[in-house]
Amino acid sequence: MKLTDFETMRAQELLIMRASQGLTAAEADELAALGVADNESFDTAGVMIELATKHDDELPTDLADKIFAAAVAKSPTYNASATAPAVPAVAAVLTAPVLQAVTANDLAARAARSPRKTLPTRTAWLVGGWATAAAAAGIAVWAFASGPNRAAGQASAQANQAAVAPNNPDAQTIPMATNTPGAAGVAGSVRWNGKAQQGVLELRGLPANEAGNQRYQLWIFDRQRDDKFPVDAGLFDASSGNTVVPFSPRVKVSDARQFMVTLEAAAGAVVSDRSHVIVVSE
Amino acid sequence: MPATATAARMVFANQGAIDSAHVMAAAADTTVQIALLPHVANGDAEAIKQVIARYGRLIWSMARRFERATAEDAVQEIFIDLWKSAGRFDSKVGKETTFVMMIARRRLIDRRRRLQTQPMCDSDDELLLLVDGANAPPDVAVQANAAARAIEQLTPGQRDVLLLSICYGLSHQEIADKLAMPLGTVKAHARRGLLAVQAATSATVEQEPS
Repeated sequence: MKLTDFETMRAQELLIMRASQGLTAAEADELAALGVADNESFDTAGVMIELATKHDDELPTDLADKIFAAAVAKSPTYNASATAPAVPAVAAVLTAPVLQAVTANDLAARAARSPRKTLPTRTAWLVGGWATAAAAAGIAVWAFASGPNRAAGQASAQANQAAVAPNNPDAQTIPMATNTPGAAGVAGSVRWNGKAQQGVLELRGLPANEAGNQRYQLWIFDRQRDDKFPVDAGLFDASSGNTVVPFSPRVKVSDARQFMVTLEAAAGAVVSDRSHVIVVSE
Repeated sequence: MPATATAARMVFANQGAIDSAHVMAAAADTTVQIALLPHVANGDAEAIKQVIARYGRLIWSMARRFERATAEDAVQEIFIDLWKSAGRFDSKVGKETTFVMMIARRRLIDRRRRLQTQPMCDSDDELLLLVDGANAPPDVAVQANAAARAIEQLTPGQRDVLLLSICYGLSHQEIADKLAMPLGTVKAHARRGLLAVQAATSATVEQEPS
């Protein structure tokens, strides 16, 4: 439709108004009738003016956490697809659904089915795998998905145990320590297989978190990423005694530099403010 | 408030201070501007986190200018809009930052009209705006830089009107009252200012390699 000069001027006026202060419903209808409503060049100019100015105010951490929690909690799409394969470049798991508790009885039964002899000591997992050792030692463990995804969870658990096995040359053990006053006595290690992107965190003396209000969160610093944004490797709870957390971040960690555990709000943090760092790798 | 007083409080970078090399290098660095919204549309929770981290500061700063007391509500509404709209983003059609910011601006403008929200520009200090384009995200750095240069070419009156209109969301009548300027002059300044920036940014887009 060819516009008259008057219509062209009116269309431009409406486009400028839309970009700067919005339109009434009647004006929006008028713009649509002129056939130029999809012209976004003035809206883009408005965006560029905005982007040409300073933006010094950081989004508050608690607000970022709230936005993230709302996004994953209220949308069935996100929950349903959290365990689906995703594009490797940025795909990662929201690890809360992956790291689910298995009971001590489950572990005991699993250990009993295993012909492997176990050692009920702290270092047992280094010999026989984390699940067996954990069951034998009676420690709190967070393992891969059970319930509806039990088969997949078991396969993931087996893959994890193989990847971090003591005889696997691709895995390495990194000590964890703390100098946080409130976490004195917490120690342990991470066994990480960068090739398989699998790991297991074992901590002794980790205080029980306040269920429903707090959770621990594991982070991996990657030399290929900005240290401001370590890879989220999962949320987990601790009851008492020792804690073993197998993990597999779905964001590829190219070159793990350091591991860190923080205490966060129950929904986890988008970007931790690191106000409660519990342990870091040495 | 006289226009000249307002102009004095708006800080503009000298053209020579614009680090074009930095801007161009940032624009070429596509590794830090991989589009995230398609992954958000696929339900990738990590992508959601990265979108919040990447655009949170921009949206929060903008919302605080538009709405003094209710910026938190506005930001949450904007992100809800963004999650719903993520599937519509097409990197062949436009830049992700532009897409995100356009959603944010439209939501803020809509809230201003619907809720009569109050902008944060009552005090003199809050009117400070540095325009240089050097801190824009890499995928839109060249366009933002072009916008900054176009703004520098405007008269002080045009700049005041344009920034109060675009960055604080004031209506033309509110600007006229604030600057003690005739409404017709405000409308003319707003139109000329936006036309100048539109021409500059459109020309930049046309020059970008496909």
